[in-house]
Amino acid sequence: MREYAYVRANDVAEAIGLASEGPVAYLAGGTNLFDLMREEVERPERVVDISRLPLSAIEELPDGGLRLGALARNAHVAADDRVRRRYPVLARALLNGASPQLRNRATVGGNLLQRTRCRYFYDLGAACNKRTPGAGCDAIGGFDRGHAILGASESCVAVHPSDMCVALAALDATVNLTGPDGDRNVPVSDFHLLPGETPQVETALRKGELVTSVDLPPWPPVRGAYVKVRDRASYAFALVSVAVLLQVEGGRIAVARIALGGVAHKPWRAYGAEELLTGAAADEPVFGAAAAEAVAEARPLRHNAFKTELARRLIRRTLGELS
Amino acid sequence: MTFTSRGFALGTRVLGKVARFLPDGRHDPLSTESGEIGRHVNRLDGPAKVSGGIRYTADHVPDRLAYAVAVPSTIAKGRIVAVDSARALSAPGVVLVMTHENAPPMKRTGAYATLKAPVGAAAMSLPILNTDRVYWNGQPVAVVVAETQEQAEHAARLVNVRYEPEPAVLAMSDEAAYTPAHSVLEESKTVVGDVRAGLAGAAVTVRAVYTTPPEYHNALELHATMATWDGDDLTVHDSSQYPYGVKEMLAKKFGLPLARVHVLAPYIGGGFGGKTPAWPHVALTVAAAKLAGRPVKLVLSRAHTYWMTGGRAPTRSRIALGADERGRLTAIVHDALATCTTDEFAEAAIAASRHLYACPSIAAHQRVIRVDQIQNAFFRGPGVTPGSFALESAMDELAWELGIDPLELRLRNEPDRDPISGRPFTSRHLREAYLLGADAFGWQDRAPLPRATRDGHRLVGQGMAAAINPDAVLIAAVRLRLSADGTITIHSSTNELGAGTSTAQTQAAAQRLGVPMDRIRFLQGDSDVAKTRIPGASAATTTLASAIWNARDRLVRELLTIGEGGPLAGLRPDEVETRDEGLFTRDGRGQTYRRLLERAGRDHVEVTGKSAVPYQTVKRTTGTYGAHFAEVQVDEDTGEVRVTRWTGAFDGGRIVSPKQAISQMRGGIIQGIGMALMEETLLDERSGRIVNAGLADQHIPTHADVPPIDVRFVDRPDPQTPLGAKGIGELGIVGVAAAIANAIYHATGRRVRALPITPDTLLTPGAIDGRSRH
Repeated sequence: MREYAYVRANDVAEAIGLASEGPVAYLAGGTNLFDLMREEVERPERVVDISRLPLSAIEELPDGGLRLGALARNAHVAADDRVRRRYPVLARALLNGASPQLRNRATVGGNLLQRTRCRYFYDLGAACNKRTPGAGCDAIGGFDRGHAILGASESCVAVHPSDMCVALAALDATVNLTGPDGDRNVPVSDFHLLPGETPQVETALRKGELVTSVDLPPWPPVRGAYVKVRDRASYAFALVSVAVLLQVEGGRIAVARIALGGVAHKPWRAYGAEELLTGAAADEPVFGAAAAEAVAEARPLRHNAFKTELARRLIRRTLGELS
Repeated sequence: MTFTSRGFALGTRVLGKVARFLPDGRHDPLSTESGEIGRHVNRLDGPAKVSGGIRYTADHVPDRLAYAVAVPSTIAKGRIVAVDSARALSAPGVVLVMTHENAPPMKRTGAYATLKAPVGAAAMSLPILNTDRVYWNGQPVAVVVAETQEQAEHAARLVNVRYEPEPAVLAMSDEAAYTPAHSVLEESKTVVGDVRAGLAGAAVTVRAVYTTPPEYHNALELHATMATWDGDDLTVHDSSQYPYGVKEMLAKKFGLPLARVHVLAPYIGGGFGGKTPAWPHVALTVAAAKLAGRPVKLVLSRAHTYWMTGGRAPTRSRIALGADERGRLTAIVHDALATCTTDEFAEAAIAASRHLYACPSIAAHQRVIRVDQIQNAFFRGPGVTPGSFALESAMDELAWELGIDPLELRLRNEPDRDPISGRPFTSRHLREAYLLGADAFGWQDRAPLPRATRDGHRLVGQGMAAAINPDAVLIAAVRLRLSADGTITIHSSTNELGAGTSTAQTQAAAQRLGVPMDRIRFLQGDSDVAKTRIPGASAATTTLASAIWNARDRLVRELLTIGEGGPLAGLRPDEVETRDEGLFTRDGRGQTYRRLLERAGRDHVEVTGKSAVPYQTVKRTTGTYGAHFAEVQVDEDTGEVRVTRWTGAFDGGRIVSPKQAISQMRGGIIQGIGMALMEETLLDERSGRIVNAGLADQHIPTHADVPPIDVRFVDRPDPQTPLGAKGIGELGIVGVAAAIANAIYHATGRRVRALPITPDTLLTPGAIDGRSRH
């Protein structure tokens, strides 16, 4: 590990000031950051500890939504009564992630900003455009079983590893930010970026900006599910996961949201499938067509063609179960 | 597992000719006596372990300690052109950078795992850091020593190595395959009877190819070494399964008399064979300490564990079985291929096929191919574990072809003599294990056809497989000290691998010496106690019991000598018993140990006990046996497999410490579940780099992957062994993967012949033989 300066911020403004220049990282739960620092994949010269800032509350919003503080622990969010009652898909997604020990440490903001688990990204002996722009990508032509089938580029085929973010994408959540240029918010579906030619740029976050909270909009009573397929029963990243929200009225689909995990550089909203579902009859042929539509643009790599089929089956089955 | 040099292998073949004239094992009266042996006692080291009271190698922090980190090569084969250490040397806290240009010369040793060298624990014969050659990707090409672990890790990344790469052989292929001079255990090629005729005359045949991937031990404790020089005296703490072997290896490498090298390894946090040989970092830590002139500790990072220590080689097995219409085997053909390195350690997948079933014709042939990778290593059930996946899957296929229940098929082929050598068994109660396990599991309730049971999305199936592992008694000596207060301390050079050896030995010694368990202290892990060659092989229980038995006999003689003139006067050793904390004749004449020592004015009596030469293991075929019964649920949509129920029934002779034995079997079964469903080391064939070098990607079972596991023992003493016991350290894993694959077939009607059976495997249409995923 490289030497770095550790500073603790006493308030948000101070944090932003401390992070406005140079190689800096905010420290919240540290579960991903310190791993990457030990590997020297992340090389901040200054670490700004924000873990004591008052950003861990879970609060009601005037519009009937819920605000998750950026420093709320994954375990707390998953156990929160309001989350469990009104956004069960989020609680399920959180509980499908990591291990109890990690969930006790990891925060909402840190989960949003966690970096890919691509092994070539972690190994300084391998080529990675995300780590060293222009260096090439050893994952392409290598072990790409866990990699992207949607939205990838010639530069990067890594996937975003989060479970929580898949649920947030389905729930139309918004990320609240504050920074040197003031406050702004970004829909979670626009927060993470596709790799394109700049896989090192992973989010819409600007220099010095800090995630302060995530807003969940009010939802009518919909049925939701988060289903994750992985290589073992617990403590593994998704091969493919899916968050589905569905509301059926009089045999017709009133509301449909589908987000996929483990398939792209970001939580992948299947807008085409949602469109196809909305207003259609809630039956098996429609579900099958929507599932097919969700992966119609899939471009599998050498070893991950199964993800296309798996995503299709998961969506179809989950829709069927929720209808 | 027999650990032999080529010479010993030859000797064994000669001995084989005269085997029937050799003596049997000495009958041990304890093998049928009740007492401490067989009691369910708690693990003696348990409380200390769970409360942080045990100090492992990495926990030692002596004064002036410096920390070392090795630099892994990034090419698989070639030459080091230049090592630029300047940036590393100027980094904070750096003490030195050791490269092939300034490392002290280390004598080449025979590689332990290749069996070329009968002594020592070096993992390979390669002169690491005494050469500019690169032999594998991840090889240590420099060692950085610094004041802190973090500083050493950082500086290690600053060492800039320029290479001249050469083309490397990284893939397993048939082209360069050859028959190695020897395989672990036995010969590389065995032919009995006429398999061609056996197959031609068979009513039913099965021919198929089965593969297992590279796998790692993934022990919880990272490999660690700490070396301290005091003049020419060397003290090394090492996370070794084989302290005496490390002592011999280091003495040879550094040209020291054995007496000057002191190796300590009382506890290790898991080994599974991966800590049997000493990998290059052990000698490099010693060399770095010499250069630094102060104590140096090196703890491999998890990633370096994959790059700088070896795992199980991948295997491919071609099996052909023939049987008559009643299911009696007429032919077994097992052609196996595995990777190895220049040191030629063969993962002998053919082992199980030689000893498991009665069959008039058996042809087993092991071949290897040399690759430019880290040398492969021993791993729980070397050879027999991957090989049994092939054989036991093929037996299941045969059962379906014949329309005979898989359990019944195995019962019909249970041999009464070793099918290769024709020698008798020391004992073999596999038939009892089959029936015991089947009854406990409820095997008779299984649906007769595949795809018959469904639970929602999930198909339910049951499968079974046999387990077999050779049983070895090796060489050990112990020092036994009886103190004036009646307590007894036993010192051994073996160590506590985590299997509960110290608890089992304390139970056995208490009964052997006629004292309560709390009078005995069993201390392990000091190489200086005595020459002890137990690097694994599930051999600790019986070998140590033999040495302690011998120590007991010597103690009796010694006590009768010092007891001259007392109530024991004139008695011969065979006229007294060790019981009631002393020596007594059957009619009650005698004295307690305390009284004896007090009368003689002695503070203590110390004797050495040596294990007996295990002639019985040459005269007869030794082995441990078992049967696994598994239930799985397979999600047909996602390909996810969950193991929901398990029964394992085993013949491990007399069970000395049932609680430890049950845990050991459970551990093996859990490791086998990992092997079946998730474990695979991914080596990028473009670079030779192990890619999934971490526990986040190299999956092993979590609690959620482990079902309730019911363990049963036949628990019948082997008349040929000390305590009537047999070594069961490795047995539990053998056959597990096949039982799961067979259960998946029963659930789904799909046969999977390639491990691991990950979700994508079952989503792939068609036959699943070769590997085509990742």
